[in-house]
Amino acid sequence: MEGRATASSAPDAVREQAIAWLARFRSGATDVDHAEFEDWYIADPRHAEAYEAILETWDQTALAAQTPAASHRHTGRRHSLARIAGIAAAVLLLFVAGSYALTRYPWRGPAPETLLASRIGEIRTIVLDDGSRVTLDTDSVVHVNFDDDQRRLQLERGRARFEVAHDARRAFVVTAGASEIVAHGTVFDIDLRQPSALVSLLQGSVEVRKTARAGEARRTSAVLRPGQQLALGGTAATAQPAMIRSTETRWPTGMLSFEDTRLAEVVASANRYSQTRIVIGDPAAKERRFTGTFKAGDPKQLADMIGTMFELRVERDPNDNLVIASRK
Amino acid sequence: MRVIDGFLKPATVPRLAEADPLPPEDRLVRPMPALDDLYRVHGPRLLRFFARRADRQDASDLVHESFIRFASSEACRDRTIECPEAYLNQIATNLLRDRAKSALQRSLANHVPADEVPLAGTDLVAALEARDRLNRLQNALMRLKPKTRDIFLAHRLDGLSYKQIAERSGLSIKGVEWHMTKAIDHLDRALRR
Repeated sequence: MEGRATASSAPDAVREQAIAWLARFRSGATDVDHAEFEDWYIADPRHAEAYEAILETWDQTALAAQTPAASHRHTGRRHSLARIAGIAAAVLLLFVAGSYALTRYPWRGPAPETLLASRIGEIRTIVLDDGSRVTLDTDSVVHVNFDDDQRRLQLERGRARFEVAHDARRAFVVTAGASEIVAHGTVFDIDLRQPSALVSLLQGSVEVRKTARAGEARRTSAVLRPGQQLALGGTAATAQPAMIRSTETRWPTGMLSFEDTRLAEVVASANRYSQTRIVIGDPAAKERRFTGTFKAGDPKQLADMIGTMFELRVERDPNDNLVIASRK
Repeated sequence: MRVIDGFLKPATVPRLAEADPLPPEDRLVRPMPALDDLYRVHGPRLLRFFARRADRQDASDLVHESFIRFASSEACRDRTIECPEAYLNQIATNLLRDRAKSALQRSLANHVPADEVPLAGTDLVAALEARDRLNRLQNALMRLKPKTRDIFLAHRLDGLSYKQIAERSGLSIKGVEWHMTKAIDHLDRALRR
C-alpha cells in the first residue's frame, strides 16, 4: 500500500506519456499491455489527472467536424488521402480554401463584433487583441468592436473594469447608456447597476461625453481625474465628479467591501453574485449600517455574518432564499 | 488491528448451540460499531493511500466507496473475513483499477460524435465558450502541418484506422502514430490554454 516514487512525474513528461498512451491505444494495436497502462494510471494521481485531461481534449476534438478546417477539406477520403501522399498543389489549394473559409465564419478572424459575458457569481478577465483587459463583474455583457480607426466597446449590462492598452492611433471608446467614455492608457470602471450609471477612474484620464443625437449640435463632456467618479444618468452636464471610496474599487478580487453602508444596499450588491438571494424580512434591519469585507457568491456565509453582527435570525424559505429577520 | 481482531474472532466461531448460554447483550449489537471501528482504524490510512493516487477531492469519496463495498461484500456479511486490512487494500486497489479500465475503454471507443455544439441558446456564456472552443480548435488545426492535420482528421472524423491510413498514404503504422501524437499534443495545448 505504500506509494512508489515515480521516476518521471514532471508535468511535461507525464503529459507526454499520457499522449503516447492515447496515440498507442488509437492504433488498434493488439499488443498494448492493458495491465501496464493500469499500473501507470494508478501509480500517481498526476498520471490519472494528466490522462483524464488528454481524454477530455480528445473528446473535444470531435468538434473538429464543425470547423471549416474539416468541412472544407476536399470531400471524400480518396482525395484527402491523396493529399497525404504528398501532392503539393492540392495541399496548397486546401490551405487557400481553408483560409478563405476562416474569414467567412462568424466565429473566426476579425469578427465584426465580439461579445463578452459573465455568469451570475462569476468575475472574469478577458484580454483583448490590443492587450487591453476587460474584467466583467457578475452577470455582465460587453460588446467589442475593433477596427483600424477605433476601439469601440459597449457595456450592455452589469459592471466592468477597463484597463486600456495605450494606442495613440486608435481611441478606446466605451458606450454606456447615452454616454461615451473616451480613454487613452487608463484604468476605469463603469457600473450600470446603480440608479444612475457610474464611471470611476482609477488611473490616467478619461473624457465622459453624451453621445451626440441627431439634431444636437453640441455634445456635453467632462474630464475625470484619477480617484473621481461621475454619475452618467440624467443630465451629465450638471453632474459633478465625486471622490471614489476605496471600497468600491476592490470588486475584481471577488471580495466585496463596504464602509458604513445601509444593510439593504450591501445585500442588494451581494445578491448579484448568486442565485440564492438574501432577503431582509425586517424593515428596521434594512437601515442598519454595515462595515466589512466578505467573499462574493457565498450568501450563506454573509447571512450568518449579518446574523451574528446584528443579532438577527437566518432561515431558509421554501425557495431556498435566506431570510434575515429579528430574533423573537 | 487489535480492535478488529477482538470483534472478528467471536464472530467467526461456530454458531451457538441450543444449550449454550446467550451471549451478553453488548455482543449482539456489536456488528455495526465494528464497521465504525474499522473506519476509524483504516479510514485515515486508506485516505492517504488514495490521496497519493487520485485527486484530493476524490480521495474521500473513494474511501467511502471502499467501505461500502467492504460492508456489502458477502464475506463481510458472513463475517468470514480473517484479515480485513488486506481485504480493504484489495478493494481500494480494485477501485483505482476500475478507473484506469474506464479510461482505457474511453480511449478505445470508436464513435465519431456528430452532435452539434449549441452556438446559440439561452446561456449566453455557454454559447460564447462553445464558439471560443471551436475557434481555438479551428486555429490549432490550421497550424498543424497539412499532412498531420489530414491524418488526424481522417482518423478522428472519418474513422479510418491507422492501418487504413498507412496503406493509403504509404506511411508505416508507427509513422501514423507519430503524426497522431503530434496532433494530439498540439491540439491539447491549444484547447487547454
